[in-house]
Amino acid sequence: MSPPPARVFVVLVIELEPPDEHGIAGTIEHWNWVEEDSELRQAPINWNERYNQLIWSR
Amino acid sequence: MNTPEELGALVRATFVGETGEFRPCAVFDRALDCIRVITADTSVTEIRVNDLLTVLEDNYPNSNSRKYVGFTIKGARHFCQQRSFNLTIPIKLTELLDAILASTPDPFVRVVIDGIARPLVEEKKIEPVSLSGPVPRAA
Repeated sequence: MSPPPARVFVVLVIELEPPDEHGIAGTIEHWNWVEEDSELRQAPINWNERYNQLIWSR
Repeated sequence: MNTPEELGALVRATFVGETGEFRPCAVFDRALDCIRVITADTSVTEIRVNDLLTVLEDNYPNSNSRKYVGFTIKGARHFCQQRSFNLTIPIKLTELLDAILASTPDPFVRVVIDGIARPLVEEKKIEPVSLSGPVPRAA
């Protein structure tokens, strides 16, 4: 099954600071498909409202 | 735990005896303060409607299935507290949807609630959802 077109898979991770006793540095809270942003390919729609800054893109 | 096989074994062991057929349901995600209503066991895309409401669109619909198979209500507990819902008993989703409608003049929200969310709740007989219990603290 191919990924749905014009969609981006988003994973919401909460950082554990400091890491716990097992060395785990974060937990996955949620994951989902969202629409792709119309200007920045492979970024979630309205990415600049979701995140403070762009740290990486293709 | 180092391998995918070990992870898989851990997950299976955690949910042993709890697997079964999918059924439409509403669940409250305490960590994210979000109610999720899902009526089909399928991959979905989250389409934001407004600050509170998001609809879930089936990624692989067929001719016999619905395009929208669920919705989420973000900040659900906070919203209910603001409007003096009794959180010691499960919340009826139709009442919560009514309160969301009353909170906004946006006609698009009305279309989504009356055309998508409320029919899903009523036709799939989604049971009330409990928002009680402690709110997890941020790490």
